Amino acid sequence: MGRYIGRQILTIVPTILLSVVINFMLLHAAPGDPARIYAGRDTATPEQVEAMRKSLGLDQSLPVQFVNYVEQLLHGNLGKSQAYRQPVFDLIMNRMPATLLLTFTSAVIAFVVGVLLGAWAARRSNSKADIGVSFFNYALFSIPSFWLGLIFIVIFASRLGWFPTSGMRTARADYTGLDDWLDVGRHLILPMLTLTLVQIPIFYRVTRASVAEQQSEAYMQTFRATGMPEDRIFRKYALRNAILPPVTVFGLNLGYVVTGAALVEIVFAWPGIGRLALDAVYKRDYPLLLGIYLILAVAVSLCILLTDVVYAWLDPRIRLR
Amino acid sequence: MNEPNINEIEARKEALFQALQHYGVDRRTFLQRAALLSAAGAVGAKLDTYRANAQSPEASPAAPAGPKGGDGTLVVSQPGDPLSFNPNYQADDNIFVPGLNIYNTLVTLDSSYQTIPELAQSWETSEDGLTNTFHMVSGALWHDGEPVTSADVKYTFDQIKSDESATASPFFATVESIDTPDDVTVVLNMSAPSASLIPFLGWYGTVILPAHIYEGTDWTTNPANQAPVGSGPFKFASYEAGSSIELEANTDFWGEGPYIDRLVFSIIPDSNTALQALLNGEVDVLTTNPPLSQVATLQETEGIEVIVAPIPSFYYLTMNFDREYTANVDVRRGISMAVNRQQIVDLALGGYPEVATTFYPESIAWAANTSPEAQVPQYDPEAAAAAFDAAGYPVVDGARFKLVFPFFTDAPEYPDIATIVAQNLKDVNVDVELVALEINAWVERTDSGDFDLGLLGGLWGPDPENLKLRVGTGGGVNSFNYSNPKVDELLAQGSAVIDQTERASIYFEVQEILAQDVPISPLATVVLFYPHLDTISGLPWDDGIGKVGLNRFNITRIAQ
Repeated sequence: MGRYIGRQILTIVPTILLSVVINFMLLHAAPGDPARIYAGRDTATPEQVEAMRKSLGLDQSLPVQFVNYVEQLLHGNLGKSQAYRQPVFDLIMNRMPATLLLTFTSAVIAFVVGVLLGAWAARRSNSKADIGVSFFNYALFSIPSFWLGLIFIVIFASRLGWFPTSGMRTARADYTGLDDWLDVGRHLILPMLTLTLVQIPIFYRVTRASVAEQQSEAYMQTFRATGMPEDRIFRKYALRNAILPPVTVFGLNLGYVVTGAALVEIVFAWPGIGRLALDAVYKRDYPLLLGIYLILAVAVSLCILLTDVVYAWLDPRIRLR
Repeated sequence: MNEPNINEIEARKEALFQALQHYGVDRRTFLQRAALLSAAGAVGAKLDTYRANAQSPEASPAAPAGPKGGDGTLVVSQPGDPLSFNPNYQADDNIFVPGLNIYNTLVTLDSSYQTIPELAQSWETSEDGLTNTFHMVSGALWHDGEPVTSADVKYTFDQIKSDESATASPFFATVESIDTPDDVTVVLNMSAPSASLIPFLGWYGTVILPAHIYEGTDWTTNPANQAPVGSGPFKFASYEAGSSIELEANTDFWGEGPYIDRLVFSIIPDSNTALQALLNGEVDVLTTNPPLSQVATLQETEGIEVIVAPIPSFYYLTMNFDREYTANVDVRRGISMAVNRQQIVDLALGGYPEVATTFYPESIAWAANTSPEAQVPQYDPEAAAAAFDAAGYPVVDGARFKLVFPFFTDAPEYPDIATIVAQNLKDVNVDVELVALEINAWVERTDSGDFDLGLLGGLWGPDPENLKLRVGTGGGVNSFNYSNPKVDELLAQGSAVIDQTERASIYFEVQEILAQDVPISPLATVVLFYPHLDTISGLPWDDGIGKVGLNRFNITRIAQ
């Protein structure tokens, strides 16, 4: 087992290095000039833009910039944001709690609900209930998250007044302790609900397919022949086997959600990393974007590693291969 | 220059009243504001008033210190996170409004873009235009208790001038040296006269920074950039990234106010969400436009008032001089006549702005040439077709020629305007290829010259000096490469003359040349909307005109 984990970790290192190279090249290939942005798009004279380029170190050739960047990374330094002129690491960590709170809770809830719905529907394959739930999921899957968010604001915040419109805390108040937690909780519900709903179909579809597959396996037939009750077969054997694919998707999805939540974060003015990343795109803040992507790459790799380890632990065939 | 005579003032008032009536302001409200406005006009536009009234070099006393605080918390919307709390070293619209409440400028612009006093209570320009002397308020303190002196002004301006990448750096090109004969007097020695310098001092990237904190440090990384120390009506309290900026009343503020205890900038990037937050009472004032389609409904909404503030700015078409079709003046004139400006105003801009008829915004009245010789060629599809025919582009197979028209999608009205322009041109058999781009990609595209038509906005004030940027050879936003030596010569003259009447005639001539050459075609004026709860008064965009600078909340009050 130890050797297996070691081998997996070794494969992560080149993956992450490759992602750094690709991200660096992609970002610099995109049109847009940071020096022009910070010097003032409307008003800057060509001399001002050149001076800004120099002060940001963007006057150096791309290979030199890349080598400098990698050297910095090897010293454990994500560098300084061009736009904010602050350490990239600090900027990301400032937003981390809000991001984790929103994306992690919604991912977990979406996982639980999606898996349960998927399993439930798979057992009633092609019944009216199955068709209904599937239709509902396809509908959710095709709704843009920012639109759903805005509708929730209009209904639940403006019409009904149940929840605050946006933000993470009440701007007028200065709560502390438990009141502060409750305040954040009230602000969390609508964005979390939005983000949960758009993720449910992902887990639903994977689970439904996976459960359906298990149910057609020969061992199910054997269990049924022994006279074991259907519920017991399902809970004890089918679901356990079927849960592995959704777990994999959960790990992969987590990486996507962190930046994919940007639209929801914008609609609800939630102070997360997705918004930071999107702002960085508009500002062509290369070090900040590279930093965010790097942290994501590491997080996703670790998630995948964790899933692999769990698999190997569950299934000896994998670790011996 | 002489004081404006009484008829002129009355005429100006009447014109203003008509303009305001158009925006739905009743006569009573108007009369209340007229007094303010004419005061502002007399104060701001006329340098000479200051020359005449300039006091002895001793400092003028600080303004009466009104009550500090007591009205509670004001929450205003803010579209994004500031990059830094030092507004001077780089361009950043997200620190503009908070920065102006934390810091002071030497002179400032009010919301009608008139120059009014701030840290400098009076100033005068020597006859030859080579010396600008500012007399500062005494008793102003930094938020850490240190006195604000002329040394702070000198440090700030020297620093801006020496850092070529700073936003305001080009404004200081003609400032040769800065003297501080005493703690409250600042003298700018000029290498050449510059009438536009003073309004620019009150505009963008020119807040006075504390020398005792910044001097000798790198001003882009000084820790005060995260915890600013200003001299303005509000002190920095806290900043939650992505959420809010909190300021508290500066009880030692040297001027009037503040009346509110806390000023919170609630960061809400989406304009629909910001509007809902206002309707739900979570935000008191929106500092950026609501969706334009919502303005009419908002004006009818109980408990909400909407301030309508035209600004000296146009939406305007640019036509590329390096391309086959648009290099032809008849084609450019034809394009200008093919565009239905009223349709743009009605369909893309919520019906509020005026269609543009002049080549300089009329809200800076002294510089706008309204004579027929300087008119923007207006909508007349038949004349447009005739112009294209005259240029040698008859209709062949249903079309005359095809224009490439990239536009940026970052503000919702630009795609709408571009679509209408394309349709208008199609109506006179000109094909248009619309190219939607994210703004930075669009800048790169227009810089590369790969376009026929462009669509721009941006502020044309605070002074017609700004025309250099837009239509001067090599100007920062002259990506369409218009170059007329006569225009350049006149613009250079306009910078060097101090007398406003003389300057006006120079800029009038520029506008007549623009009407001949039609390098650009102004479409409509830009109007900003500031919806707020009706319990809030003393906002900078209406009650504050003539009293406080742009976007400052020191005289804002909350009805209890």
